Amino acid sequence: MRALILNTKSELQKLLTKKKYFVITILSAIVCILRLGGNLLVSKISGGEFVIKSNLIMEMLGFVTIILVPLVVFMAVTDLFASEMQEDTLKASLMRPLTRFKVMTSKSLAAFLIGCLVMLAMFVVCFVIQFISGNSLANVPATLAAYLIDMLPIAALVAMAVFINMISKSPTLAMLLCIVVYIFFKYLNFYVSPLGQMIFTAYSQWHKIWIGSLLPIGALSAKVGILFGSVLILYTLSYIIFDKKDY
Amino acid sequence: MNVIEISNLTKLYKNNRGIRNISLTVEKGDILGLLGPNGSGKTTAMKAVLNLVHSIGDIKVFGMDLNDQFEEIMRRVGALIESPAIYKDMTAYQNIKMHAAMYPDITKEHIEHILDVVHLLPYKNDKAGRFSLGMKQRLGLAVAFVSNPELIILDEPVNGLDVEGVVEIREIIKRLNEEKGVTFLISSHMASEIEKTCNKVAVMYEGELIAKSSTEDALKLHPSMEDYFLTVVKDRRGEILI
Repeated sequence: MRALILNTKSELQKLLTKKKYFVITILSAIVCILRLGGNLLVSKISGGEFVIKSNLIMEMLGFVTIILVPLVVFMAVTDLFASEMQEDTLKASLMRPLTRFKVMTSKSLAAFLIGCLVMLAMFVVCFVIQFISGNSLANVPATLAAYLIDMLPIAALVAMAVFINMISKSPTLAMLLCIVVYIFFKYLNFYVSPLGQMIFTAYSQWHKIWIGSLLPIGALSAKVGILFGSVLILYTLSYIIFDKKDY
Repeated sequence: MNVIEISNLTKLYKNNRGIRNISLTVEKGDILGLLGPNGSGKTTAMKAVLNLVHSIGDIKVFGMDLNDQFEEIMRRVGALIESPAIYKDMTAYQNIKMHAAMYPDITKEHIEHILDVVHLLPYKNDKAGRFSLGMKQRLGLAVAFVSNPELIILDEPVNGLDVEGVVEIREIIKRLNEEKGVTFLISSHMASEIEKTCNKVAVMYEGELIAKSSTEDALKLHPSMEDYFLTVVKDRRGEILI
């Protein structure tokens, strides 16, 4: 267990040395500010007739969970798997005192953690903007809970990205496939019923089934089953491929 | 005591190249050189010992089965295989520290000492991506040395190094062997390098291990290691090499 934690820390450190994760978070923070600026602009143009009192933190959650975090997770997984395979640095991890399962798990955990970190960073940015703009902070605890709950489905995105990285021969292809498959799944989620609801990406905003009007227990357990079942299947398949490969 | 015991090791790739039926032992305190031309299977044999490739046959390291006790084995092994696995976005120090984090009791001073040994201390805060080929090779060697391993496996360790670098690395290998009793398995296609560094030599040719000898014995009957190599290859081919 200690080795797994240490290696996860190392893998996370690798990701944090890459500037792109900071850049994408800063760009997303700018999106937040622009959104607030848009609200203020509407108010100014209308001469104060339309004042948008919004919960910016909650409004941004959709953008964070559906666009930002998947992108970050796909980049992270591709950096830690396909890129390392191509650059021949993966063998450094495989020559440490760790089984292949632990190597794969620590890389996946690091990708999951960076997704969570970006999510938390966006929560803090939105909170600060909300505070400065003078909008209500009354719903902040519930909103924080929503952000925290929405971290769990990141595990399924990681599992999907790891699987795609296992079957891809280059990081570019892996990243492209991750995005295309994700968009396809999202299309199914939104436009093809009931099949779309059987795909785990339908639950990226997981807080919707846990906060507010609770679903019946049967429906809840079915959704939990779909999410974690997907993780289990994708992760197992990925491990089988990872373990069989020569490096 | 045998540090590495390889029995009937076979690994064939899709193109039917690889290694066939290799049996080899490396004793404690040996510096064993795998000598052979490019494509003779040296790297594949080393990769098999590190479980980087799946192979048929038995491999025991420190008396432990490679598949069953991989983690225990790798705590005592350092390696540099093919090109050094360097993370270019990290500094030289960060690269070593990240590897060292997996081993207990490795201090900042020890990491700096290792960087000093490979002459990279002045560049410890420079990004590894900006290093020359030789500097990357030195960094790869530092990573292999940092955990104070009992067995070090080095695949073409002097690749990309200048003459001074080659001599320095040779001296480091000999010093670690004499002072700390570290066992080495080294591969090279340069007979002169094996002659100057190793006390035992195993010749690989077309995926097979065709001869093994102590360096001393090989040089008793042949004027140089190069000559020894050409003789055993000629015997294997059953023809006269020009």
